[in-house]
Amino acid sequence: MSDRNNKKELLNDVLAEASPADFREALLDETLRLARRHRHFRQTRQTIGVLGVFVLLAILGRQNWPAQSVVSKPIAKKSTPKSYKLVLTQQLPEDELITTRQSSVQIVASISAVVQISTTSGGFRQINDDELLALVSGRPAVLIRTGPHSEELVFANPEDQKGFLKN
Amino acid sequence: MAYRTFYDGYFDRLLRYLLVVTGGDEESAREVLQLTLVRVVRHVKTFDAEEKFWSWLTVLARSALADERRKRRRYFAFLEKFTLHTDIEGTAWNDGEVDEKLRALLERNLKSLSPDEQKLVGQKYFARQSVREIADEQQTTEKAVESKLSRIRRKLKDAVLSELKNERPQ
Repeated sequence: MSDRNNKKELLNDVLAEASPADFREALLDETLRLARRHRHFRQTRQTIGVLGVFVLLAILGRQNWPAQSVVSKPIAKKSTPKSYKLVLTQQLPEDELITTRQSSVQIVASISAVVQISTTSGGFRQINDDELLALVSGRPAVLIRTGPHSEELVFANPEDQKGFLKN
Repeated sequence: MAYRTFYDGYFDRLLRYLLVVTGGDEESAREVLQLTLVRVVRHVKTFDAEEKFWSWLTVLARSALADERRKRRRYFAFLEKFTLHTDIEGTAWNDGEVDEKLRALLERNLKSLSPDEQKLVGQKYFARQSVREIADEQQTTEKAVESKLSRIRRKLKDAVLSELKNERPQ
């Protein structure tokens, strides 16, 4: 071994002298522990990032999907203009059909037992205001003109009106 | 394991570098070494040449040292930022300079050892004798030889770190 390497070994031994016995191994263990923790943290961060992207894509996809379908409908209608109206029919089921038969209907004949009363015009006379008030004499009442050709007879006592109409 | 290979290959080298950069402050050098190794794990990338990789490591080490000093002197952040800027610029040692400096300090302090101590170091590190062979030659036990070697290494370390501290730019 060369003198240079001998001195290098001596120097290493000199500098390592009185160091904590397990310093070298303890430092290696500590560094490896930190490295593992760092790797674990990095992997976790990557996983969260990927999940975040997926969630974002899912949200964006959900927001855009209905808009695309709404937009596409008018385009489809415009592309196929129809000059006719298509009507589809189908036969009704038996239980929904109502049929009649001649023999099931009973014909009822009626006889004329109604008395016909006929009136002739000019069989009444129109009375004036004084004659009307004379008819209700003894019952307090006023005649109110409500229009050019209409009037209303109002009794002071409503009970009088009932009695008057009955009579 | 790749990291173990890296660790075995660069632990001593980085520690030597940091001892010089921190001006012989062993405690700081250890703390900054840990910070540097953590940063290596976090920011490791591919290099096409070993020199570039080492250069990147020394940048990490110096920036970790700057952060560590800033943390220690939080109340003087502004002043520290200014002084650290000049400090980092001034301590941008390259690998060869660091090793050369440490080797020179080691050789100087080897000469200050007693003749017996120099002989023992020579037997162990330059003649490549085993501890058992040395113990047999000196008619003592292996444990006694190990103990002597440990004391000599400790003395050399204290001397080297002390000189580094004395040379630290003010």
